[in-house]
Amino acid sequence: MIRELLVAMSVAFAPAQGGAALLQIQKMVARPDVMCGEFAQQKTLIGLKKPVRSTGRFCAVTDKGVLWNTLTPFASTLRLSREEIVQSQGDRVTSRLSAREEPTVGVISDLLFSVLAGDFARLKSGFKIDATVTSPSWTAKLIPKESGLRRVISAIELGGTEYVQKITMIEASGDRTVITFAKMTTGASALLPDEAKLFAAPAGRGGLER
Amino acid sequence: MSTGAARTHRRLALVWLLLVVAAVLYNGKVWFVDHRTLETDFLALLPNDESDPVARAAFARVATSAEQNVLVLVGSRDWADARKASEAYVGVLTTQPDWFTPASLAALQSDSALAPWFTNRRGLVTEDDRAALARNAPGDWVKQALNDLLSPMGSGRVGAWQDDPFGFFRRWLQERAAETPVRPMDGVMRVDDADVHYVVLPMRLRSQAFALQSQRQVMPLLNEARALAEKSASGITVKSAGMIFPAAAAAAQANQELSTIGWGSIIGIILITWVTFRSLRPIALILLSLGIGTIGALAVTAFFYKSVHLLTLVFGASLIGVAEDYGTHYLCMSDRNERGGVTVMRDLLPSLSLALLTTVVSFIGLGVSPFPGLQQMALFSTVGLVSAWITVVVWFPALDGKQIGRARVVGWFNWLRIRWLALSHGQPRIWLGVGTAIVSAVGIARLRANDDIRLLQSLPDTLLQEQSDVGRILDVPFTGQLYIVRGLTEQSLMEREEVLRDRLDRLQQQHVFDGYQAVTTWVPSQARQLRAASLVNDKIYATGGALHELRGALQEDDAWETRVRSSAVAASPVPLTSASWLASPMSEPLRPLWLGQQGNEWVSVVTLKGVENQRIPELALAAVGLPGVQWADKVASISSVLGRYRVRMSWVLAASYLLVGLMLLPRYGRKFWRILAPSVVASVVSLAVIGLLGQPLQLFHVLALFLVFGLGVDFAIFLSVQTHSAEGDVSFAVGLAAISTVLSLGLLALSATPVLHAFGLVMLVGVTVSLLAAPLFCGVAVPASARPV
Repeated sequence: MIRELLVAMSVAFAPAQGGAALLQIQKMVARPDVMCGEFAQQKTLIGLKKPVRSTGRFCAVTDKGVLWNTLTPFASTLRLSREEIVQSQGDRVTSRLSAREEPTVGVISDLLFSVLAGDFARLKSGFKIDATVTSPSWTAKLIPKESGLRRVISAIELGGTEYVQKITMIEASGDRTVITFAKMTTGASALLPDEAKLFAAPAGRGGLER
Repeated sequence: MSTGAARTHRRLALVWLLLVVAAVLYNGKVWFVDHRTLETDFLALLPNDESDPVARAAFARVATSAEQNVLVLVGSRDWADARKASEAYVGVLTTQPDWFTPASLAALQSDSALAPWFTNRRGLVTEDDRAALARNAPGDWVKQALNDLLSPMGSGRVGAWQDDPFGFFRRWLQERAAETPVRPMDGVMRVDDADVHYVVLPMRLRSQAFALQSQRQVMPLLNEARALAEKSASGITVKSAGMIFPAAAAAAQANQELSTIGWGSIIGIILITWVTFRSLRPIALILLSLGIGTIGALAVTAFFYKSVHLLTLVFGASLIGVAEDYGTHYLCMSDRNERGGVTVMRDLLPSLSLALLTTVVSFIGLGVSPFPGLQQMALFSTVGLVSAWITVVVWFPALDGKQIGRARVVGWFNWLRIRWLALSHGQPRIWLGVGTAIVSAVGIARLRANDDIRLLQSLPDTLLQEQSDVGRILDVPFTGQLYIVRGLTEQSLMEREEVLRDRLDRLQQQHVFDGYQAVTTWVPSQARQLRAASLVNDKIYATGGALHELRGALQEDDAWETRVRSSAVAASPVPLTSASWLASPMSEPLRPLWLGQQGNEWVSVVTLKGVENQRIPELALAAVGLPGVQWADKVASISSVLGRYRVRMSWVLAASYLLVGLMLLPRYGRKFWRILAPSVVASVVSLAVIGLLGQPLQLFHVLALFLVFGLGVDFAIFLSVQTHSAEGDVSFAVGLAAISTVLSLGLLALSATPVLHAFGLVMLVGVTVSLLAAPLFCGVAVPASARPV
């Protein structure tokens, strides 16, 4: 119905394909169940002179979803799971979108998780992937296979080593989001107590599908 | 016998032959040249009693748009499997591209589909945002806007970020999207139900769902597609919904019954005629009269009605036994051989005519009902009986061949009859009367009426389950109940609809029902659009509004602020109208709700989702006190019509008794009541049996009583005929007629179609009882003075 919103985040699960470089990347990328780190994000929007910068911490937990905790320019928390996408400031929820209202919530969460985790096994079904390996690092350019999604996202570029270190998302409108990551930690101890609390909050049935 | 009479008879026979040939030719043209098909919609039998033409148009609009829709869900826990199976399904359908119009996803995804809304986005604000705009300070909106910018995801919006920096339009679209759980994905429509992912295959039939021809073509293809889809991977679920499925199921059932009843009756009659006459010629003659009856009935019905209903034929088939009476009566007159056919026919004519007349009167009772289907059945049956009757009267004397004897069976029959009469004399007769009275009293005391239309549907549970599953998964509204909204202008209509929606929103929050569909969700009234625009203007774009503050936070300059403001505000507001909505492919699913200008007013419909029966009064109440808003409940309205006519037709039945009583008066004098008595007793016992079986009394039982009345009077008239032949002949003919009638109508009682079952049951009991009762009232007691004139 509302193509941009809906199509935007849809992922196709078509039969896998991919070259040797892609297989190599898949071997290089570690896929821990819990992964946290610091991010710096820069959004360049058409019509805005200055890019919008933000920094903070993120965590991606298998079967639970993604926590996107912005600390500057002001504190704001985004939680994505298969069931809902919740935005909050402190204890105040500023917006909440449930899978009941918007069935693509799960798909959106899955896509973000896959991109953060460098889950190419999953990504390659929905994207045409152009991979280059210059050991120990790699880059990959993802172009949506489906035309509906391509009208919203032109491409996603990923770069990394053991983990994804840089994401560049180029929207069809010309907007561009660049995110870089640092200080990656893995394992249960990676979660700070506050973060663990957020993941423990009702995740509902299922969580992220693996 | 004068030669003049014989000549007249020959001339009449010739005229009839010409008419029969004309009917045959007309039938050939209609069925084989024009390829007319049979109607199978059960609802077509029901009256169009919405006295309000607008309400009628509203329901017709919603129903017609639904009729040709076919919704198929092909699902699996594995989305790839679901897609593969759906491709297999579609692959089968594309072998017949002329039969279906697939819904196009491309149109919805085209860039221009949402253009009118984007252009007019100023006035499109969700109710939640409207409340928040009234409440929140500009600073809150700035925070919200900046917050949205922090998301690592794309914003998934129409246009550039600066076209909608505060996200009002984005949230409004989100709200519209939430009206359906279906989402485009991978080039198909997808809907999820728990952990099963379905590909939605919406399509439109190019033909009418109730046309038998289209069912015969389309159903095998849909079944084949389903089978192939289910085979294409393991764990595939296919669910289909659409009018064609129940329509085809009901038609297949009726078709089956048509052949059972039709062939059952014909074989029965052939057997009875064979046993009686031991000769082929009477069989041929009887079949001739039945065949011509059918040809005449079909031709005249097809002439007056554009579509002939399948159930008309089923009902007509059950009358084979009645039409057969006339011929049997004539053939049973054993003195035919001595006196000549024409003379015997002349003697028999008064009773044959009276019998025909009373039956036809009872059909006229059906005909005056406002039920289009029953009127058609009445016309079909009347013409069929009259044609069979004319055939007997004008052709039989010339064709009967004079050498027809009868078997010993007449002897057995007379023996039985005499035993019965003997049993019912004196004391046994009193006991019989008392017994009948007690059983009748008990049964009638238990009789309860229930006119609920839903009792009349008889679809297989699996079919119903699938239809309701599809409705639930796709979250589509039910169209049995709806609101009709009217206004003198388009805008007054929309404003009234919005007032109703405000009430419905509150009821929805209280979980009275799940949701509604209304055109003004997509096209708010201009007043509402302007109100929303001015609210946004005050809080966001005016001096000291949120935009200025956002500019500071983003470190932008004056030019930026001016540009964003002019993009959002300065463009002169051109509020959306129904015309721009109708022109967009986005409006397709809701178009049936918009009736537009009807006469001198504008009309729209609001449909409801997830309505439970016990909540209906609350929803009906929501329309109370709102000008131009009317609650319309098709289910309740049809049920109440059925109830009203059940009562009304009971009075018409009483009046028919009176009328026929008057017709009998000149011939039978004060004994006329004996002719009516068998029918009365039979009707009372039939009602008692319905009560004893615990079946609710419905209109269709009352309508069957009309036929019991007609047949019972027939029997009585024939039994009181005293011709030159022995009384046994007549009794035998009556008995034969009754047995064949019971045979065909008894088969009708086995029908799984509730309407036909109701008819059949009453007829079975009624005809049997009148057969047994007729000799008691008429067989011996009618004085010799009541001779044919």
